Order: sequence, then C-alpha cells, then structure tokens
Amino acid sequence: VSEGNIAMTDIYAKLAWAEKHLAELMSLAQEYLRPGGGDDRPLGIELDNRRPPIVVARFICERPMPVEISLHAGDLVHNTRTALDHVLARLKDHFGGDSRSGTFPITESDADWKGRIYPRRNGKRQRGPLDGLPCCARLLIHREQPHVAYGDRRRDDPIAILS
Amino acid sequence: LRSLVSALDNTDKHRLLHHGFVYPAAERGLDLIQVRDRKKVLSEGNVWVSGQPIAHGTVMARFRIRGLAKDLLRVDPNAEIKLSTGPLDAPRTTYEDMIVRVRGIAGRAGALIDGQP
Repeated sequence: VSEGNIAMTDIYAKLAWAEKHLAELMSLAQEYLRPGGGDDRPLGIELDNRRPPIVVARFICERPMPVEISLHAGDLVHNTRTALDHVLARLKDHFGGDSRSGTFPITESDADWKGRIYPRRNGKRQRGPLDGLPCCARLLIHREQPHVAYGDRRRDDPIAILS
Repeated sequence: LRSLVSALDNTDKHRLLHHGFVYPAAERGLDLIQVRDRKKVLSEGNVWVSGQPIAHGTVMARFRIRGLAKDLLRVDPNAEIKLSTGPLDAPRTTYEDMIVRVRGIAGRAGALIDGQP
C-alpha cells in the first residue's frame, strides 16, 4: 500500500459511508415508488379505466415521501463534501500548510479562483485556503476545478453541486 | 430508479432536510405507457411534460380505447423514475457521479503524494 493511499484512507472511508447512505436512500425510494406492491402500479403509475372507454394514466403516491430519504441525502452530501475537504487537509499534511484550516475550493472561473485562493482586502493579501501548499499541489487542485476539468460545461461537473 | 441531487446554496447545505421529489426520466407522460395493439387505441393525449413536478394524482396521459386497459396498456418496464433532492430548476447530478468524482480527486491527490520525495 502506497503512502498516498494510506493518506487517503479516511477519505475513502468517508466515501464508502456516503455510499452506504445512498444504498439506504435507494432502498427506501424503491419501496416508496412501488405503492401498489410492484406489479399493480409500477413506478407508481395507475391506469384508471373506471370510465370506459377513457383510460387515465395517473401518478399515485398516497404517502408523503419518507423523511428518512431526505436525512440520508443530507448525510450523503455532507460526507462527500467533508471527504473533499479532507483531501486538502491530507495534501497539507504531506506538502505543508495548516491542515486545520481551509476547505477544498470549487470555483466557477479563473477570476473566481484568483479571488478565493489569493484573497485581498484593502489591497492587502489575506490568508487563502491553499496557503502553504507548493505549486504541484495547487496545480492539482486547479485542474480539478469545474471550469478547468469541464470547461464550458462546468455546471455538469458533479462536484459543482458541492460548491 | 435514479436518485439525483440538485445544486444547493449555502442555506440548503446547512439545512438538515432537503425537499425531495420524484419525476419520470421520460420527456412526456405518453412515453411512459406502452400500447400492445395500436388498432384498439381510438385516441391518446399527453398531459405531463418533462420539467413539470409530479405529485399524488398528477395525470400523465389519457387514452380512449376499445376493450380493457389491462389487456392493452402497460407502464413501460424500461421507464425510469428519478428521485431528486434540492430545487427542481437547479443543475443536477447523480449521487453516484458525485461520489465517483470525489474518489477520483482523492486518487490523483494520493498519486501526487506518491510521486513526491
């Protein structure tokens, strides 16, 4: 096992935990969307033929969405976002910087990147989230930015959701 | 069933509960229903279109048929329903893609650590 893999152990554990929430969320959702028990109303769609010759295809879901679905969704997003922040912390552990401060940046443009990574106030440089990291680590994080990794389709980048 | 997450603003991220909703992956309500024998369908009309929310009782499509619905119509077994959390009109991704993307970043960060003295 490489040093890099060891450094990322907690991150992979967080992501595995997020997947566990996802599996439970999906299980609840499958049950929720089969109110007729599966075959009677697949996908919750009922074919109402009570007034022949008219048939109405109607979505039926008598119960409110289980609150647990939203709870799992919230935990899943939180775990994934935290995993991303831990990536930054582990890079700082290895390369330099204060691993207790700074969150993994997710930016929309180069201007946004500059403003957040090299913040200034009243003309003075302020502390930035990547301070202490060498160029190679900053470059890696820059390459992962939605506007770099996905270009014009930056909103399609799955991590854009976590910004 | 696919489960999606919509972009969250800062307020959303700190809320415990996100609004959840379901919607079909199809473009139209009619696309969700398969007809076994077209000759027995006198007419059909679409009601629901993609982008509209669905809730209990939402009408997806209407048909005028000859005979019994159960012999003629069925829900497309390949149709997909999505479950989403967050605002309906915000950019979306799947939870799976989000996790895979972050795992990829962790893998590249680990490789960078391995590649440095």
